[in-house]
Amino acid sequence: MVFNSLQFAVFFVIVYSLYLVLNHKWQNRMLLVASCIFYGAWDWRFLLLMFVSITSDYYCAIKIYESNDEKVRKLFLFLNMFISLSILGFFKYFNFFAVNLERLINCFGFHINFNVLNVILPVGISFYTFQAMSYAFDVYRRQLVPTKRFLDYSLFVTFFPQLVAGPIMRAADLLPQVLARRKVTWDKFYQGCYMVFWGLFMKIFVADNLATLIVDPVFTSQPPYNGVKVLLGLYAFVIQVYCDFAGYSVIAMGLGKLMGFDIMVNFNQPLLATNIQDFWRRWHISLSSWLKDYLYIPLGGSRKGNIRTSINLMITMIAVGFWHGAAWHFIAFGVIEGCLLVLYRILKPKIENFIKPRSSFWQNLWLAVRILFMFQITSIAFMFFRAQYMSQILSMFKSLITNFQFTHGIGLKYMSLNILFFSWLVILAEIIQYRENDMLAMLKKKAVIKTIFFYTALILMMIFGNLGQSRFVYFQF
Amino acid sequence: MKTLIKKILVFSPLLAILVFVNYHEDPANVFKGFWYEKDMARIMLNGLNVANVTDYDERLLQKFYIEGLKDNVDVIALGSSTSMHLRSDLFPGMKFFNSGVSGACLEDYIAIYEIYHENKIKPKIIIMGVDPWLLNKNNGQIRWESIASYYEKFMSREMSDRKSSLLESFVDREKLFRIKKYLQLFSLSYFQNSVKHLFRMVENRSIKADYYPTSLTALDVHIRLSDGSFSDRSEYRLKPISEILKDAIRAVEIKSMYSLGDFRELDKGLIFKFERFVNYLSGEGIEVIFFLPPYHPYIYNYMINTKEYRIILEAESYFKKFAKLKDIYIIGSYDPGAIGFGEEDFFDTRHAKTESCKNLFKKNLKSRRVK
Repeated sequence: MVFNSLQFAVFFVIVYSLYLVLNHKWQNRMLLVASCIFYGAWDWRFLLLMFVSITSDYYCAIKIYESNDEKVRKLFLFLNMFISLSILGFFKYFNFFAVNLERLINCFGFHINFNVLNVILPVGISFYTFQAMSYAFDVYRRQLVPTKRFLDYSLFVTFFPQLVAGPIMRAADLLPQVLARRKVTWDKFYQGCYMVFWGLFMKIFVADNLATLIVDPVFTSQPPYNGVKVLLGLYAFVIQVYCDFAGYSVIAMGLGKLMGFDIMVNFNQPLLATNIQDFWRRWHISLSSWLKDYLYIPLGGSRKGNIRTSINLMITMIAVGFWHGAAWHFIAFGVIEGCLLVLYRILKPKIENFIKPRSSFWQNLWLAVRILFMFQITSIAFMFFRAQYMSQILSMFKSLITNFQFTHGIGLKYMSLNILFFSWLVILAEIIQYRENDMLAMLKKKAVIKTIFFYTALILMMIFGNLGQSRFVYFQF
Repeated sequence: MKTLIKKILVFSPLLAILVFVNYHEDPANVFKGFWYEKDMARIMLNGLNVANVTDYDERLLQKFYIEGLKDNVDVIALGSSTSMHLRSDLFPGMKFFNSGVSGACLEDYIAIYEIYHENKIKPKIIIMGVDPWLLNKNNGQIRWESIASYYEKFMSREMSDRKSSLLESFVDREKLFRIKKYLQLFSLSYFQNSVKHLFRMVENRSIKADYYPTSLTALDVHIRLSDGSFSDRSEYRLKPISEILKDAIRAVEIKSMYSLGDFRELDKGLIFKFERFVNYLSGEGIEVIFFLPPYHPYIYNYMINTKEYRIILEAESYFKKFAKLKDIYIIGSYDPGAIGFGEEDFFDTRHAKTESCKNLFKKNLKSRRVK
């Protein structure tokens, strides 16, 4: 059941109608049932798997909290990690390791054949596993008191707006909202409606159209590639994946807001980032902050010297890449992002000392240059994200250098116009939100401006929205 | 609450425009009563082909055509669009009609046969296109509900399906389907088609807006021939092989395999229904010939090497085993290589060319033992 489907619309109308009339206790129970129905609509078998994970987290957290013996606390923490990561590892990574181990052993002249398992990857497993694991970590660190209300804890993990594609909510943020009474005000209602609408716009009008018209044709074409076409395809892909994923997150926030929940911001205008560090503070914030708190900092963070910091950064970014998928090109993506972060740390003081614009005009110009430059870097790095295999990546890279030609007749004007047409309104909204540092900036404009904005978005969606109900790109995770 | 109502009122003109454009343009002829399908049937019954067909209810066309038949039909083709290119010249001297409908599923076959039965038309031969999704309970096909009452009648009469008749008494599927069609008035996707339709008419004032009768069988518009078969417009028919291959690559890339989504197993319920239906036809003295429409080589190769779609091998194996058991003649294969088809025999990723199918049938029908 994807958000941009009639099925979901009917589902949510029923859920919301019930939500508004029930008291807190029954709201939570109803939401739990609704979340199970939502997730079970993908595949009911995955529900059982999710509840194994939930049960393990719930009981391990209580045991961690109740014990004063550090060994026992660690035992339950590692037990919980083992169960959670085993489930994730089995469904997501088993075949990857089996195939690569087989290749490695075969390299040494031995012949071995691991049976590749015919398993379906449960939707959202990477998201809810991390969400549930963070609960046990926070209890272990004594940052959180575990709840003894199993049903409410289950709702924290399964809450349908953010279950299958995030944001990865921390227990400290979401669990108190589950446990406490929530108030639905008219302000929250309008904000929620706006977010749902805007998220759908990003998905249906921008992401799906760019995917169909530009990205898929570029990435399914055969070599030799034209460098300009590849670059335009990459630009379109970055905008596509951003609008797809951020759109989903915004819808999740909106649905939560309609019910009085505050779901965290997962994207903070990352395409307007000025450097790689800024980018990762704005892109998929829930994942990057999760890995920072539970991997990077425990490894030592930036407290153990430059070399160790660089190693920690690389490990964390490789984990980011690997989280996205069990394939070498995702790991390569992580390595590249890690290298960029390390390089930035080294070069940052030099750049800041070298360029110091004085007037506001030059400051704005320098800002624009940095944003555009960062966008180029992001686009090229995301090649590893989109391409299906390494040879395609190498061919495309090669074309950027050796075949970067504005050749007549290959549709560059068509591509450029389409990218501009489908993304101009989102870019405009992003710039406004960036300048005002407020994702609800459009809602606070004057009535006339708001009306023009919404009318434009609605008309564009009505006429050009891609209503093919494609799955969100990030559902494979 | 007042603010909410004001906000809704501000945007209500857009809803009004949507409804108006959908009703006025009506690209699938949903709001015109049934006159589109009735008139098409009338033209075809008069021995003429219908050119420039757009979207319409193909099941209703079958109903109105069959109801208008005065003579018996010797050979009927039942199938999806993959069978709709089979023409009357395959059976010279016999009255042939292609009752294929796009996205046909087993319920369509049963319902359409029942329409023939009610109109006392009994063919000697039925060519049954057996696409793999016939046995996929998740094939997503719902258009058969347009003639659901015929399906229900057959099921309760011939298959003692009490559940169906109970269902019929509480839920009229046909009425429900019609309601769903009328709800297209508020549909965004229908609006988009309406807008495209409007722009096409504005851009090409010289082309005919509506269908028209013709004796030609190949034009630059779609044609439904008087024998029920289908002729695609020339732009589609004459697409270069390289372009078709690009489409195939793209279809593989976005994993778009028609009606094969969530096809995890050959559904036992559908197998039961299918076998009972075929046994019934054989029991009525009708010769059934199975046609396995081939896939484009690139698509086929992808599917048999992909765990989500490898099930088509199982489907083909099942149909062949069943045919052997029941002494049913089989023509074709999902594997284009097995029947000597190459990329040049397809005009898109799923449909073999009319000439190629014709040659295949002619070759096979010669060697078939006539019953």
